[in-house]
Amino acid sequence: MTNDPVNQFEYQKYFDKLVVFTRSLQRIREAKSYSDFISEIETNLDEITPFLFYKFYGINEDQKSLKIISELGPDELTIDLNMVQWSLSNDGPSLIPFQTPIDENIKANILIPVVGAQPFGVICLWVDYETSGFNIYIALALKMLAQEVASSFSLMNLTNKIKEQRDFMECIIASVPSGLFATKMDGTIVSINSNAEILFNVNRKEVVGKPYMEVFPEKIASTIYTLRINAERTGGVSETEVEYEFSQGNILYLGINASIIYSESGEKLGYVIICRDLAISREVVKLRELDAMKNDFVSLVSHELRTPLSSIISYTELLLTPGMVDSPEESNEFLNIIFQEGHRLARLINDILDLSKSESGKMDYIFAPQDINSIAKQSLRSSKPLAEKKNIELQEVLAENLPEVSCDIDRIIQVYLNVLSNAIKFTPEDGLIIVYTRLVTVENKKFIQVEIKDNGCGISEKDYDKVFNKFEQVENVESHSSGTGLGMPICKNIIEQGHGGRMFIKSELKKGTSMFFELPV
Amino acid sequence: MDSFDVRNRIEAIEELPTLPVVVTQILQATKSMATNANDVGDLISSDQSLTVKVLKLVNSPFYGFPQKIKTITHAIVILGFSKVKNIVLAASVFGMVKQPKNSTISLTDLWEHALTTGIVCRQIAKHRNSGVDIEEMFVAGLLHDLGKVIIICNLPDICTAISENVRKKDCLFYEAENEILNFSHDKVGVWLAEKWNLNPALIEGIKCHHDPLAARGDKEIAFTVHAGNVIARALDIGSGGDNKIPILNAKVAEELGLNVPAIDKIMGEVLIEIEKAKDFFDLIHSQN
Repeated sequence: MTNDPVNQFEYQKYFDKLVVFTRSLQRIREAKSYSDFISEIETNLDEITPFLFYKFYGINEDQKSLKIISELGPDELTIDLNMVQWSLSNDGPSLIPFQTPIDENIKANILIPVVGAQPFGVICLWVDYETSGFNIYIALALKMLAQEVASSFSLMNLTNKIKEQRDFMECIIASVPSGLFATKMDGTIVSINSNAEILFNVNRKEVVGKPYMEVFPEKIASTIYTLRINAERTGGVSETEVEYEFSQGNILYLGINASIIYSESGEKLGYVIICRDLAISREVVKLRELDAMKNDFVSLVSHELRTPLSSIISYTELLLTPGMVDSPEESNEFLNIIFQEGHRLARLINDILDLSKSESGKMDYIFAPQDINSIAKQSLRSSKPLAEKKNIELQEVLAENLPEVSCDIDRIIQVYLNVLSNAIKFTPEDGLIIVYTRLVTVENKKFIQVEIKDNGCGISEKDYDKVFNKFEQVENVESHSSGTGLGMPICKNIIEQGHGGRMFIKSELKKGTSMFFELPV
Repeated sequence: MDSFDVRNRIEAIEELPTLPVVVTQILQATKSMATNANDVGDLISSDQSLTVKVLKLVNSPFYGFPQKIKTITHAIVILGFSKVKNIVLAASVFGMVKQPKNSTISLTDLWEHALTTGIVCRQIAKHRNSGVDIEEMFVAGLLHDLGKVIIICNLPDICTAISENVRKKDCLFYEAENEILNFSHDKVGVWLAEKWNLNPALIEGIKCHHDPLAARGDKEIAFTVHAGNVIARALDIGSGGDNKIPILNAKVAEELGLNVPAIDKIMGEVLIEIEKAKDFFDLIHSQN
């Protein structure tokens, strides 16, 4: 047959036609937009066969109803659903005799099934010819066109699905309440969420595709580099904390971790790096600690308040009960106890109020230039009766020519008395307490330092902190006192928060304690 | 008996089955892209009995067109050239030879098996959706046992010997052929198909339906016909000269995606299609 010169010529003609047509079909696949895609379909149809009208029906998922994808023809021109369903069961186009009063030129209708992995629809052409116009080339070309359209549809569906999934993933990444970005194995950034953009003051468009080393602050970049090396070595997650100056004077504590992204087949694809602001988690830890402290405080306070209160109540009850008091002396003694416990209660309440005021910074201070030595002398005088009870000697070693300091005299006396009474409490009988004053220089600043030194039981270094904790009293004291446990914390607050000074302790078990406080000159 | 001997005998047969001239012309015409519906329509219409058969078949539920197709040219434009060409082939082959007297194998049974195989192949191709013409698959299935037709009709002595062997050994017709002839009906079928100038893909289907992995050209068609034959035998419609079901080649099954559930599904669908193809079966009966 190929030896037949006429046929050979004919073959060549159709072959050339098909080559051109295949190229033209390519434009359907390469359409940049949906409207381009549709118009390319129309152009290609026109190249295959002349037609009067055209409608592209999509079949809905129920396979029982149609929707118009595109059309070029009067609305009243429609096609029977049965025909569409029949056409979809074929794998090629059909020309069906068709007559309509809408347009008398219409002689037939070409149905071209568009079927990919699932049926998409039917392209319908109304033509002015009957059987004679329909040859094998037209049938073949229309079939090729339908296959092209179907595969483009499949591709569009796939692209949409991929886009949907990608969008979903991006939403997830964007919603992570931390800075997050991913890099390839070579460190090129492939994805970054908005938190990371804000955190490192970068713009997604500018950083994607660049190595993170060039984009992030040096400190962060080198931290990530170390994390990457560690993650690579361990094959797992590597984590660290870093201080990062987010903006001028605004330091963030970042928890940064890096982990390797593996493909399903176990191939290393890159890294995902997550940066968390630890302030939030630290704040939570701090709040929890505070909450626990508050609970302890409340239970301690109520315990401390109840003790004097129950004394007061029981002695008052005794006094009120007829026949319970033997003599006026005894009733006097009871009244005294009530009086003292009442005072203790008042002291306790004052202390609590003081502490809460000083802690919240609401304590009022009246500053005036004062001579520390004279305050020391005054305080020692006041403490003398207490010391004498235990036959404790009070000495003073006061530096001369000390400058005056600006302070609230009442508060400083309160500190002196508190420290002294503590010293007396924890010093055995016949002990010695010495008050020193001196001028010191700390970090180029001058301070007047007061040291109150006893030779009492002393406390171990690990308990230093307890001295300044509310209601805490060091366990190994030989003589338990009736203190509120609030004195030292209040003093520390007065000196440090109130006067910008410093209060600390030095002690040695069995040898004695030195309590220091310093006020800036 | 060697193959040359048999080939010589076959070549010497004066009444080797031939396709009607009009069918050959139609096959020829549908190879040209310039051929239009009227050209083919005129060819078919020139044969009155063919026209009647074709019109009956195109209107059968097998093609499911919602309206009545009244003319051959309409049948061509509505169903397409490929379908009509194959309808013409089917309508012609069923009656091309007459059953010899005392034959051990019924031609009616053989054609029923062939038609069933064609329907199975078409159904497999529908599922594959690999771009091949499903109607071509139908014809490939329909013609795969062409060699057996010649053995039955033109070599009755050999046919009897083979049937005897099948009965004695309880084996496949194909195996019995190989024992007696050193070759089998697939080869005979190829000789005839070549004589008929059928296209190479169809010949590959005939040639390799028992040995699909030997296919060199169109593997899709060889694999499909092999599987189609096995499934048709499993459906037990018609007969291929023995009572056995050939083994489905595992690689073919894998390539075509024919696992047990898929085969099950196809068998179910084929039974429905066979119901629709009643006009084809009727044609076999009226012709034989």
